[in-house]
Amino acid sequence: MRRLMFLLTVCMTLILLAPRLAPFDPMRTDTTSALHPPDALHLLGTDHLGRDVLSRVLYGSQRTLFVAGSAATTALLIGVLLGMALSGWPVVRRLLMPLITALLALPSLLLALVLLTVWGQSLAPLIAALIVPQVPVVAQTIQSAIRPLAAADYVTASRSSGAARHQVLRWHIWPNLMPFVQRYAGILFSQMLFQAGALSLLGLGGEVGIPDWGAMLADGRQSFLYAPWTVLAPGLLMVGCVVGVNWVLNRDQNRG
Amino acid sequence: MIPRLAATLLTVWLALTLTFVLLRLVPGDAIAAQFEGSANPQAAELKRAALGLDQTPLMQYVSYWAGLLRGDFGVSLASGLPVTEILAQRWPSTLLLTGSSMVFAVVLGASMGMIAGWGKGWTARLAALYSALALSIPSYWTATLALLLLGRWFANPAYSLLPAAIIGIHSGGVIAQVFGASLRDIRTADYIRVAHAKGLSQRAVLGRHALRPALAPVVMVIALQTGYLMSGTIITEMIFQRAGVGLLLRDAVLGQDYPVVQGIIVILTVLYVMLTFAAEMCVWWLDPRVRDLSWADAAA
Repeated sequence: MRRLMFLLTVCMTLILLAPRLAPFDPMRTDTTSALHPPDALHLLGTDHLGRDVLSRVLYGSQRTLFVAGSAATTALLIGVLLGMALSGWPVVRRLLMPLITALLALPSLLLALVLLTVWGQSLAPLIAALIVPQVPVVAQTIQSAIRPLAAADYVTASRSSGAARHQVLRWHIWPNLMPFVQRYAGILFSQMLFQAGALSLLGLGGEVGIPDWGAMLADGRQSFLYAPWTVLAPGLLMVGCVVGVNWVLNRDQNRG
Repeated sequence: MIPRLAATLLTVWLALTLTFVLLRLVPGDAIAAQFEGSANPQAAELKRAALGLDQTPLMQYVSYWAGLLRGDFGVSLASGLPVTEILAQRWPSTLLLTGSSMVFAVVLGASMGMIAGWGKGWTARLAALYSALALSIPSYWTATLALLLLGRWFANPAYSLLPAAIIGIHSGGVIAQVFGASLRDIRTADYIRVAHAKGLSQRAVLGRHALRPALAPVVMVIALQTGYLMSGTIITEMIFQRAGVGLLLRDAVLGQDYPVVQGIIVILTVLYVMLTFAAEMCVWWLDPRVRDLSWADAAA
């Protein structure tokens, strides 16, 4: 857990200090210095509207990481509970499994597209549009992770000695499921980060002008052939975040 | 077998009904956009009546299924062309891209997974690094970088498989991850130690004892990745500028062209259901241990 706390502290400091660290206003456009390559003044160059890329990635981290983090946490919470309910109670499985398979068959971007057009484009609908298509995936994954655990003799023993379903889930299944959930949390975080970026590429992720790594990638698509710095910085940060989070979650586990 | 088939049909019906309802939750329709600012408000009403959009949602739903069961997907609200005709134009490109990506992914994933799960030393570590990286980088970023670095080659028809290779690298990482993990688990199983102890060569142990059960989760992940790539074509086709089903789906959702969206979803859902069913059959054949379980599960 120490590594996790350390990484979280560093990230939170950077995110919270973004307004102080950023050398420029991330929204200030200056068409006279558009697509300026990195130099001493603009350390990471400027984008097609002359906005400072460094300031934008610093400010953008706030929105990007908040969206991915809260979507991943909520989807994990609902999905794990749902997955446990599905494997514990056959009634729940019989009622909900058809719906879950149907949702799995629909492209997640279709669901997100429709939700975003119905609810409008702002922060809360964006997070919801990331969560809704993901919950069935998490529930399904958790359910198949529980299956081999539920076959253990001590589960049968506990059930036949009169333990209720929720007690078996809490005291026999959950402790063995925990390591998997921890590893899965990292994967889920990266998927939410990427999916938010994909929505931005479709022109649905962000609000106009507000900095966000996905939106920066989308903006940079017009100019990246002659100004690659506009897509390199947000992309590298995305990859760095994902590698960092997964490293911490997996390392902790290996140490036990 | 029969309960399995019924569940499959229920899935397809639910997915299509969900799509039908979801699309109609969005306010406005395609006709309003076409006649926006038109001097003749009656023209829009006439067009709606001609397309059956003036009926209640329930009636539209009934006639949608009546058409679907006859194999009639309706006409596009935007262009007036039959949906089947539009789909026939767009599907080959998407199928080609997804199919060739999966070929790359399976070849890459199988070899890297084998090295990571069965090998030793730095080659195994390198293979594990590949799958970790493939999972940590969004495919649209790799695609953007590839366009940046290899831009000239994309214009060359001799390299038309380049987009497929780039997408394949990422799906291959997922396959390698699952294959490597399942091989590592099996490697320590008692029956593998017995096989080693009775003097079988590495190759014989792998081929005769380890490979078959290790492949079961891989088959499942290949099916899921194929479905994932199919629905992910929205992004890949946008980046590589290929006129396939993905772009069609995006434009149809944004333009509220219900029949086109529904037509695409019918095919996607049926493909997904068929893929997972085929994968389950493969697993059943590959790993005899799941046979008892899956039948007990179905009976419960």
